[in-house]
Amino acid sequence: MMLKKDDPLLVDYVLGELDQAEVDRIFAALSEGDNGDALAEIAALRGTVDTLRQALAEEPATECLAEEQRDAVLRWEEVGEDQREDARIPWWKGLWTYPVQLITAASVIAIVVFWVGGTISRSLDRHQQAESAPQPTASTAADAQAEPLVVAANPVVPAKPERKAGSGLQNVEIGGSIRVHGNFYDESQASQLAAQGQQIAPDQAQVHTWAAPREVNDLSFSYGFATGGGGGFGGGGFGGGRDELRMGVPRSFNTGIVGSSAVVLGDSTEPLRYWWYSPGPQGSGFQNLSTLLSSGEAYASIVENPFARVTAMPLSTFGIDVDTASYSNVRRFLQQGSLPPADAVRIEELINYFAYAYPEPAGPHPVSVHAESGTCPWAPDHLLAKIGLQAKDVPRDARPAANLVFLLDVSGSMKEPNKLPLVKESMKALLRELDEGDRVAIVTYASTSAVALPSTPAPDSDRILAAIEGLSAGGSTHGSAGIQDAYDIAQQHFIEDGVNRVILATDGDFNVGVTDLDDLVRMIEAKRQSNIFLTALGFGMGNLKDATLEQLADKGNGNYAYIDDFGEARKVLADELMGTLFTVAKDVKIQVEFNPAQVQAYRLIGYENRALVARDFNDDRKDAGEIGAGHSVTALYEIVPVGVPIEPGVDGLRYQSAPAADAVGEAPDAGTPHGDEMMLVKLRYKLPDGDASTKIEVPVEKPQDTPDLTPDDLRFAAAVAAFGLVLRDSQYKGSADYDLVIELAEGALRGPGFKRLSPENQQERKAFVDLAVAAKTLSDR
Amino acid sequence: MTEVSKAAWVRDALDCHERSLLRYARRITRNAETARDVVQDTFLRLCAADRGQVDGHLAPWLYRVCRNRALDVARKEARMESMTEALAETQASLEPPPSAAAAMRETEGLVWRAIGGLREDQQEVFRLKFQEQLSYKEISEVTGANVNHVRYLIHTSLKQVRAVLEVSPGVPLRAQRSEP
Repeated sequence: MMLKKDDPLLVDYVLGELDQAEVDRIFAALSEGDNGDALAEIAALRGTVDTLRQALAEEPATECLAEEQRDAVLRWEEVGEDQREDARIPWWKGLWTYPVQLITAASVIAIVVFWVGGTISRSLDRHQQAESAPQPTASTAADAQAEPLVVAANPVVPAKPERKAGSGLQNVEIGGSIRVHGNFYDESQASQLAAQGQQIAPDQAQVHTWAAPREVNDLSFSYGFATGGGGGFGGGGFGGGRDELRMGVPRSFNTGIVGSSAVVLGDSTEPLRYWWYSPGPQGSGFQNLSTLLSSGEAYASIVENPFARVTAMPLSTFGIDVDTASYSNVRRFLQQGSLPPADAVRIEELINYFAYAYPEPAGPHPVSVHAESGTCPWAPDHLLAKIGLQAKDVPRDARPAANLVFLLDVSGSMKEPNKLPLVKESMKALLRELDEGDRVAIVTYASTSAVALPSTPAPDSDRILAAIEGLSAGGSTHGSAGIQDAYDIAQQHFIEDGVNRVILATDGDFNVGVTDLDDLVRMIEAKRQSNIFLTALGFGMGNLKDATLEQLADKGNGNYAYIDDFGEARKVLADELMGTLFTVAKDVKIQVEFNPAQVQAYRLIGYENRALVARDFNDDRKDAGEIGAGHSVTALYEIVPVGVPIEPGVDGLRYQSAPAADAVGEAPDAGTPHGDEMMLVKLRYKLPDGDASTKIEVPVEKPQDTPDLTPDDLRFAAAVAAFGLVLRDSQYKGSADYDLVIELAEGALRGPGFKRLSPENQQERKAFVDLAVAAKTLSDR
Repeated sequence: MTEVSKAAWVRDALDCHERSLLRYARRITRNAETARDVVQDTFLRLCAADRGQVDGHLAPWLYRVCRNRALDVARKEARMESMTEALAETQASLEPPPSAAAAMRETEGLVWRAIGGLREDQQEVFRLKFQEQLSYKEISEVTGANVNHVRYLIHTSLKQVRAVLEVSPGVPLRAQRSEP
């Protein structure tokens, strides 16, 4: 079917007014034949609609009810029936009839159906995951022999390991582009196969022949649909030899233009109806791609680390993560009255948002390691171990000079008050912290990029402030144009032994094509070699491309923070300036070796996308996280001590004596049981300009008779972790609920450790309790 | 499932919709004070309403009640005013609000002009659609027009607005990226 350019359905489609069947018909029509006109029309319509929405949103809605009017409304419940007559009832009362009954029942039904529809697709997802039993991970390259059991797999690393982990994610590289290796099925095929309990072993995926699975080959498509020069789904773009599908994160599917010429045929109400089969212990089964791409915001899917048996995997290895964006993002969701999508909740970032009272490193190392443990509050048979890293602080006057280049997104979407205006305030706050020797430059990008301020010494604050004041938003986004300029400026004014950094502030709406984004990532990686790092600051809401920003910061040896209000801006840019900008150690990796005489199984909470294979720990070429001056990093392990039954039950091993104390591979003195030690924490770091790493080792005794989580810091970290588990509705949440979170956090507020925190840090912890209460209220609705 | 208290529910509705309802009411009543009265009364109605009837389509409910109240007042007041005055104010109200005007750049000026060129019934649905983000169906609940008529109004007004925006030279609706 040909779609005419002036088909009125196209308007309804762009406005999100079509039902699923009609959308399907449009998709089908667009994917066959020459519909370039219709595609162009859709793009043009989206452009107009966005312009209109933007312009109309500009009209201020600033008036409020008078205080007493508001009170009259809010007091309504309290005042008695007779007093209500006294509340101000306007004189025209009675001129009209009250319309409640007129509101059609049909609309209620429609809305209910919509919600149920949303729920079904999620629960179907879970159902199907549950139905397909875990698979042996034959194709995975874990160092230890993984048991073919639910409890036994550590984050698995795919055949082409980069920094991807989390078993369900093993075929997916998240970021600007998502690469999914494997076969693709449409929804009916997927549900049919899942209903039959069919599974596809990873190595058989390519030869599987049920129901003629569609193989999708190296095709760029966005949000469920083919774009660009090739054919659409059902067109000629499929078949052929390679089993890789490249899917552009719909960076701008709200605006309708992705990459150079693509029109995206989905929008925020449109679920992506393609499924892929994901092998692996946890994520095994069919997964709906839409879980990756919820509403206008794109989050990388998180598959939580499973419990790993110590006999099979004595080593747990990961790179540190100092990001905190997830916490402020979760807070934004809750404050706006909705629970965050599970994939927006990265537990390690929640935990690391808070400060813990670790002692300063005293010895020769710039980082110190601290560990403590106690009973796990949500699984009383288990233990909870906390590993804390503390980076040394650098006195202000000893701080090296900073060469900062701001790269600001000034596209139309940044115009909202919580975006560019907040960026400006943030920059002013930062400027107050800079002094002689520091330099600031500003590059802006929208449809084109411009240098708003050439690199200027910080004392020339008048000029810098004028440039900041002069910034305004407008136009579309072309993210990659300015970034080159920004790096060039940073390079020109490079300060030897100083802090050289590009600070990207955006709502993440990069309008670069998939290939462009790959290039961008490569460029950022290359610049990292020349010691120019990248900080990504996410602003705004509704359009935040979390995954893209995190990936960029990660590749650029940088950090990623989400800024939702001025308080957060001050925290990130002014208060934590030192830490954020001045790296004291890079490529910081942690490896924990568990003692099978004490520990039966363990689970790293969070850090899913930071997992490394065991051998990467000693491989100095493997990139890992950075830690800045005064920063701390905290990780939690849930530990199953020896003698506690593991669910689901697992047969004992015939050929391995348990506990297999001598089976551990890398212990410095393997063979010695170190009876009471629970684990050995090993840390590797490089100095900021160094190439060779240094190792620190800290053995951790099993807790002596710990009936409770006594240390306040441990208790508070446990509260935050439990909060994340409950928000994610994690299968590992045990008995955790919001009440437990609140109880733990409040307990930590009363303890002696609390008083040792700075007033700001105390306030952050108090605010956490309020947030947990808000989440509880929302979830009770 | 425990429910949030009615008071909290009303407070949330107030926080969410107070400002945009005031903006909406003011366009009909053309008077800030009257708009406030209308909106207060809308929320008092909400207090009295059966929550089961409103939950799930709170926004269209509020806009509908607010609209009816505002129209009642406007009609009543219009009888007391001279028609010319009313017309003059209508014209004035088509101009973008002053604070927005200061920050406005070319494209937005055009958008306002284009919207100003729409008939009043078109403008109303146009705003509900693009400013308040209601669906056709919700708009039909608010205005009482049937869904097809709402759709027709949106289609025709969008076409009209596009025509204005597209014939204006030098105003890119959206800067197109060049082909790689």
